[in-house]
Amino acid sequence: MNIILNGRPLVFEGRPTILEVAKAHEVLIPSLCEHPGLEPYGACRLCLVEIKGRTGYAPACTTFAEEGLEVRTDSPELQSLRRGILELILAEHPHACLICEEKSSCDDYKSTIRKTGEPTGCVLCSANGRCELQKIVEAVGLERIPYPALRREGEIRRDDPFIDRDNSLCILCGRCVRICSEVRGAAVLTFVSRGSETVIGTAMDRRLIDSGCRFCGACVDVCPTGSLAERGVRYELLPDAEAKALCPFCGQGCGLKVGLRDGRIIGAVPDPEGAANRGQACVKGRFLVKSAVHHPRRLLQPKIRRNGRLEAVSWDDALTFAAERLAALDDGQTAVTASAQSSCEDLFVLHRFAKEVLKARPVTGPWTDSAAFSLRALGREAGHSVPLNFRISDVGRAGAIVVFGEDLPLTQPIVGVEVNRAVRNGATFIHIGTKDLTTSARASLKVELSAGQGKAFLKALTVTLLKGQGQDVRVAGPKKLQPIGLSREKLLEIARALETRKPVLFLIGPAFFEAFGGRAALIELLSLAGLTDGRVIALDGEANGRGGLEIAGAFPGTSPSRRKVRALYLAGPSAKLEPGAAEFVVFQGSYEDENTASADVVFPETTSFESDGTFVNIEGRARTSAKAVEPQGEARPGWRILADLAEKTGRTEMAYASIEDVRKDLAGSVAAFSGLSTPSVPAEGLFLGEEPAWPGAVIGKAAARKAPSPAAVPRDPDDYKGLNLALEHKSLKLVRGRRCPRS
Amino acid sequence: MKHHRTHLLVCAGTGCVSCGAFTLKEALEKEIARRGLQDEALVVATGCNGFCERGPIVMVHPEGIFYQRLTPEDVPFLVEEHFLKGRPVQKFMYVPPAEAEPVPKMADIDFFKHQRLIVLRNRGRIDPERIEEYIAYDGYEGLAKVLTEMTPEAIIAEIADSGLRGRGGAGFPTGRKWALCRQEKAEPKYIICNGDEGDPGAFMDRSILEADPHAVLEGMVIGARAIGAQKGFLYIRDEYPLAVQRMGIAIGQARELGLLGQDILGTGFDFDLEIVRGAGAFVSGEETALIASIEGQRAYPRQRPPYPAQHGLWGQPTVINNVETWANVPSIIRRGAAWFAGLGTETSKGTKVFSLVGKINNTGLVEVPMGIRLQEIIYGIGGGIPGDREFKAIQIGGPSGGCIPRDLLDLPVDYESLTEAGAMMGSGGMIVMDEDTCMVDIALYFLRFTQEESCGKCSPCRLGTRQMAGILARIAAGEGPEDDLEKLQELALTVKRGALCGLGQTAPNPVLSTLRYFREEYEAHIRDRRCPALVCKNLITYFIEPEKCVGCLLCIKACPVDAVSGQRKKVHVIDQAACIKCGACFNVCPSKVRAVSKYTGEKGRALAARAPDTSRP
Repeated sequence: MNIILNGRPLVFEGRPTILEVAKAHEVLIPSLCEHPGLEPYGACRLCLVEIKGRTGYAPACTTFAEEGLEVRTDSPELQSLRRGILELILAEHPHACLICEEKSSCDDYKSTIRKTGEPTGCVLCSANGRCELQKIVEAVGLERIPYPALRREGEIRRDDPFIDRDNSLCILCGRCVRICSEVRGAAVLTFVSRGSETVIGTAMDRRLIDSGCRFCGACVDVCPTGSLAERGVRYELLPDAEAKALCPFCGQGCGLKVGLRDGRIIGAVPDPEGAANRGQACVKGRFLVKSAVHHPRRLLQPKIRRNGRLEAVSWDDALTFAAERLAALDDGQTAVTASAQSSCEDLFVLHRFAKEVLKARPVTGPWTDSAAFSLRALGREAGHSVPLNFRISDVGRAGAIVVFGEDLPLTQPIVGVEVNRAVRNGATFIHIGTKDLTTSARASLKVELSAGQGKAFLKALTVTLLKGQGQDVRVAGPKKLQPIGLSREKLLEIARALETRKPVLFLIGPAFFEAFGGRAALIELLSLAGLTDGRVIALDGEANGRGGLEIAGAFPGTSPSRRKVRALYLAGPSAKLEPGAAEFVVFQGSYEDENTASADVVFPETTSFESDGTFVNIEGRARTSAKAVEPQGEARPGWRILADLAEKTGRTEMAYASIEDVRKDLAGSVAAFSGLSTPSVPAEGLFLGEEPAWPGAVIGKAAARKAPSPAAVPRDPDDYKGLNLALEHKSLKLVRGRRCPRS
Repeated sequence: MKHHRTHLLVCAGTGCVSCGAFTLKEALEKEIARRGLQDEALVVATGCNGFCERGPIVMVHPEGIFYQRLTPEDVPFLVEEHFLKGRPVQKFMYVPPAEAEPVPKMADIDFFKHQRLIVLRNRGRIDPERIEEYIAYDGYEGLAKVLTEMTPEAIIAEIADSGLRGRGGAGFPTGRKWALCRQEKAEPKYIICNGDEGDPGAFMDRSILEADPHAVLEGMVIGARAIGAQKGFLYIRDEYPLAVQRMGIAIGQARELGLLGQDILGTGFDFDLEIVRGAGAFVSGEETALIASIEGQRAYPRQRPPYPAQHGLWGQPTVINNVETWANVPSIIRRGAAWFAGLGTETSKGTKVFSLVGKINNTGLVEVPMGIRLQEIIYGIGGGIPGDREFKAIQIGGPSGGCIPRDLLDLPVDYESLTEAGAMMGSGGMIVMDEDTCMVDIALYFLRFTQEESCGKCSPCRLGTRQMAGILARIAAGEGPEDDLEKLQELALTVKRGALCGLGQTAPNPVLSTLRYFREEYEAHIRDRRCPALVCKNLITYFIEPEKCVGCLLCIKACPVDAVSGQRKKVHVIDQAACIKCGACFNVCPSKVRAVSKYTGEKGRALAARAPDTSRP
């Protein structure tokens, strides 16, 4: 289909707006309030167009394209109207610099002047250079503003973590208000007052942090001017380069665009093309990348223990030292621990190293404490293959969503965004938890249980459903339900929702195992899912939990050695070591933590931003995160450290020249990763095993047999490679409402 | 059932209530009981008669005698004379302006004589709080007809054939709106009554809701049947407590009689209504904003299309009509489309209710046939301009309407003619202005109103009304540069063309229409720094004519800033530097003296600059 824009046919498909069609063909129709992902709004009126056969002017952002629609954007009347509206907008926005004749030379000389307090012109504004209003003024071309400049009253609000608000720069496009409620479901920002007094604010003019804000930063990202700004940005210049990377701070794997200046990270914004997050992020990915990479507690030099003290040495000395000591041990005398935040390549080489060089016991890692592991294990037991892969974006298409105690905005913010989308599309959101959470505020049905009542509740729900289907089942009896304090009506209401709203999704994470009981509850849940044709989705917290699980599965353990552990190889953070836990401790990590001091060798490892690496997120999507900055100090990627160490011990089969070699080896050795052998892995990644089916395979009633109790150990969502962002970063500490035990 | 010989119909519209209708009613009842007439005469509270300026009003049924401006003190005399002795009391009757003889009967009073009542047919004759009285005047006959004899398509066809157009202002054909909504597949559908009447000086909808709530209710049930809705909302602004209360009573009574709720009249049709009270934003009267408000959102309008008929309340197909539109529906169904279409002009059918206010003798609410000339309304019904002043302009269509000058008094009142003349039907506010009105000042007044009431969503309206008000204020202050008129015109067109909703698109109308008809008045402000109507404070000078002043000290006492000085029997003088131009001296100066004058332009400035001259006795 075609529309005719200024006489030129433009092809489109589906049901886009005129503005979207124009954008797709790179035709500029100035607009300020429209933003992808938000509902049509039509407030700034800059995108008004003429449509043949219709009276008046229509906003291109709210008018849908139709076959043969003849649209004009360049008639003299329209140009003067657009200019007139832009003049009005600028009358209430500091515009001196926009129409200044010295504009270009000024930019060259006053590049850091914006550290000043209140911006009264572009050169003083933190958004200078990335401001959309600036670009539009340039495109439309204004020489003067025929109105007196009106500055909107009010102070710049700097009383919140991360975000500064300056209403004098606001053009009231409403993007922030809309993204906060339409997309994030937080509804913290709102319009206050009316008419020309309107400003963006919060209810009762409280701080963001007191209004339920989670500081996801979405409002800052959509703000077309400098009205909502990241705190530190004023002190930074514009980035001179940009790199795409995956956020390593949780299991969702958000795509980020990392801004760089002089080889340093100065900030990160969510990537609109990110397969999992599609332009959204959370406080960690949005605001904390810079401080995580350039943190003072980073390990930057190899160290070995000499005369009882850790001393910085060269890589060669450190590797030789470690190789000699490890080689002196017998098989099975070394224990290896890994982290689910390391890349697949790092973990694969670690497993090989442990198995082939150290002949150690099986590598222990946190992936066995995950919801995915439990789900798979229990399914296998029942003779089913439980699908783990799914698409986060499909969550928004669900008809009913049951969340078990998971605080989504904290632990799985992007899944939370999708749950919000589903709710807006009319889905029933059922929250079952032991306490009231911000997530549950949007729930249409809420059940509060005490710990351990999960099984009884799920059983009662199953029985209700079966009875509803006309099956003769023995009822658990209202008496059994009494301790839960749940009324029959509520149970029926939930059952009805699960019966009628399809597809049904059950989201389980650590909170499910922690609060509802393990094995028995999970069996009940699987049977409930089978009954409702539903899908159980495992939400785990670490960047590469799924990858770790698959790789560990390819290195089945030999029978546990009975020999005493004499050495430890800690590839990442682990539980605090007891004094004298081992004779020899190697610590490979990115941050100094409580075990660093008891290590005999310290290998500084890169963070995920400094090296390439493949990560598998909760969806089962394997993607390679490219290096964004050069390694800090002397830090090296994990796989490189281990390959070099292997070489020092005289083993040549792990002498990888590049990470591509590692990946090739991984693809050849671990079936789940065979797709990675293709030369070009698409940007949206490859699903491990099979593409996720929607709504997914049906799970039958699991037969209970004897097996270890499943569990997913709750982890601190703010931990990254042993660095606790909430403890280390003052602003995040405020957001999380925690106290730092160290201070 | 007892039959009373006579009924005393006490007007209990908000206007009469505020000047003591309820006290009067009580006094009447007491006096009638004291005289032992309680089985003969019955006192009834009715809805608004529309002649609010003459309140409190009592109509004596069945003779049709019209008493006005009664006080409780008048009651004993009235009861004795009229109801005991049978002599109607002349001194409480209405005397037309510039005449000496009173007009005893309501039907003979000019104000009522020229009206044609459809929507207000029950005003002043039934007790709005008793459904039986509404039913007695053929109420709910239309509903019974549609439920038992008509298909939804036939109802829509009837409304379409009648030519009824939306009375809220835009004049969209009601039948077409209903048909659009009926076509939609989505369920459920909703019906809304827009009772968020916000125009300053307009009270049509309030009076209808107060005088005949069941007519609106019946209209809505008929509409619901036509489009297939089961739920409706009445959005009434909270500033109308009496309307809210009476509507609540009406809904309760209709439910009780099975005219609302489940299985209406035993036909299996279900429909119920809920009142939503508006919190007082003018923009809530815009249909999409009103829908947002019912949804619990901030009352922001949204871009149409999609129209509410397709995508309305909670995204469902919704028909939203104004109070007056709904009140027309039962009569159209009862009496047929042809009857209704026989009234009015080619494109505008039926009648329209206007609230006639401002500088006019008979202030009040009038219902007139479409196509009536402005002249007839102003002089025939309104009784002309009070005092010795001349008519200057009539502002039609609320704050977004336009000012129509004297030359166009022959203009027929219909949707197209008004729009063409730069005004609009709006919801029906008519403000009459005499020569003491400055058109710049009027434009400024309305722009300040729309600026304050603009919701702030779209930039042309939020920012443009503010800048326009700024320019107008500058002109009114005599500080406008030469090019201000062009700037104003251009800005007004930017807002008109660019704004999102009806509020913004029509907000420049007062400016555009006054620029069109009264340009020379603007030019006088700019070029001569002169306000011809002697209104704009910055451009006028109050001056005490020495030859007229008798030295009575009145103005000295009245001046709030002690700007007038002088002694008894000596000429008083205004200190121009201190004068704040409040006009207190002008107002207190006795009419036979008239020593205080207003000057503007050159002369005014010269007088203001002149040193005080106290030498003369």
